[in-house]
Amino acid sequence: MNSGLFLAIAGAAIAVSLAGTGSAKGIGFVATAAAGAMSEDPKKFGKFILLVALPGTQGIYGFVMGFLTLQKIGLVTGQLVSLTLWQGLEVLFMNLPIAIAGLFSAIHQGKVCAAGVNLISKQEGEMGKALVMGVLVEFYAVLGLLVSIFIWMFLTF
Amino acid sequence: MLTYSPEFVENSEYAYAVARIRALETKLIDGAGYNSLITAPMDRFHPLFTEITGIRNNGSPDVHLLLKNLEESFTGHLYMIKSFILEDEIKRLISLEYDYELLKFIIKEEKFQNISIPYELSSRSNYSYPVLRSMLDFGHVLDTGEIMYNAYLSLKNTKVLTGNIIDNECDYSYYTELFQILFEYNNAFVTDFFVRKVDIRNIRTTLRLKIRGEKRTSIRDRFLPFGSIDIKFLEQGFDHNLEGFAAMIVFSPFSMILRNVDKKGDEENQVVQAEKLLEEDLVQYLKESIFVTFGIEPVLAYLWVKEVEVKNLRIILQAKAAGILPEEIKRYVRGLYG
Repeated sequence: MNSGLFLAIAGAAIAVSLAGTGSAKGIGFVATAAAGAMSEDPKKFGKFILLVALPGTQGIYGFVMGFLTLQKIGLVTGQLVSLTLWQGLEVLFMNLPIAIAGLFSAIHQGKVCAAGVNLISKQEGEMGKALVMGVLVEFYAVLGLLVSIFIWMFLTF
Repeated sequence: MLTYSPEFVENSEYAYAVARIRALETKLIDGAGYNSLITAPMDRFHPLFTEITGIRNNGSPDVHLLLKNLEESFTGHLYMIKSFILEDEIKRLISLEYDYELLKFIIKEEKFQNISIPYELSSRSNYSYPVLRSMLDFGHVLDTGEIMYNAYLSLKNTKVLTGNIIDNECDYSYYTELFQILFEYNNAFVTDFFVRKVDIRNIRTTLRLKIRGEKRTSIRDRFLPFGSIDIKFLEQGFDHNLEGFAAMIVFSPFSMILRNVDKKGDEENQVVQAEKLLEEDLVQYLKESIFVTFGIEPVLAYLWVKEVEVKNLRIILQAKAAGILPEEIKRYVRGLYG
């Protein structure tokens, strides 16, 4: 395997692992809070589940980008392309926006959603507001994914 | 590693506890609940009490049984809060008050005999009555801590001992140890709460001494030097009426509260009203914990607010049993946040 291909595969791995770590951390955070609130009022599960699931999207974005990268370098079809060192670096950097934005935004989204759980625990009718605040953090993960996808679209070997 | 740096995680360990506390806060009794209890006719009071507080009495109208169940319920809350807290020193801090209350009973038992130790006090303490008693008897200073053991020795060796001397010495030692823990733990919210509590206690003591007709110098025997108000201001205000007293501590936020006391009633009534307003201000201070999303502050604030709730229910139960008029009961019930 040449060094270009090595860097491209490393890029896919970074996108999936960093965004996935962020999601796991974020979900862990909000799910812990939801468990605390539900131990007093289990009927609120339906209200909490959306908030618990919200930080999970970054992990999916990372997975999508990782898959697109593997498809680009031919690993999915079994027809590996030959990449120079610079091309490998381009693929690696292509994955960084979603990897980094995914990691940070998922953790912070977890915190916002956990605070949303606290809000719903006290004010049951405010679920919409709690959800909107969580979605605002999501926006920056989406931007990271979009930039990664734009680079993927215009990158040719 | 980035995701494991403390500032990045930011007390996430308290996510479960705070969410549970927020859910529990909705169950705190509000003003309407208190009003219903206070104004309820006696034949409706017990079922209503069970309905509002969730404390069962198996249909028995026995007030003592209700009080016992109420205390048991609070002990349960105390255990729950302790289980949420991760820092050992704060777990100790929560029960420290009961340790020193237990110490008071142990010394009074030695000196005056025939003193019964309340079971709930023993169970809320860090030690329990038999354990603390044997530790003090056998001089286990490392287990009790130097401050408590020294207080015990000092009181044990005092020849003329009254209940007041025991209470004052134990309270002083309690606050000394408490502020030592707070100094090490360094949490502004918790420390400020206790500074305010000491200030309120010092103000209340001064006002009470005044209406009892005691001398100004008696403030020195009871003053706790851990608050933000120096003893000289309390002494200067001792000879004045409530308005004048408030003027002497004008630098303190409690000055404005004292000024708001209705001056129509006699001095005793004014002091009762001042005590209520001061304690309500402390509860208002605890309300600020809503700005902490994850941390120990909301957990401790809930415990202290629950303590006020139990105190209110205790007052209502005893007052209703004694047939005291609703308007009179309301004077002693403290406001809560929900």
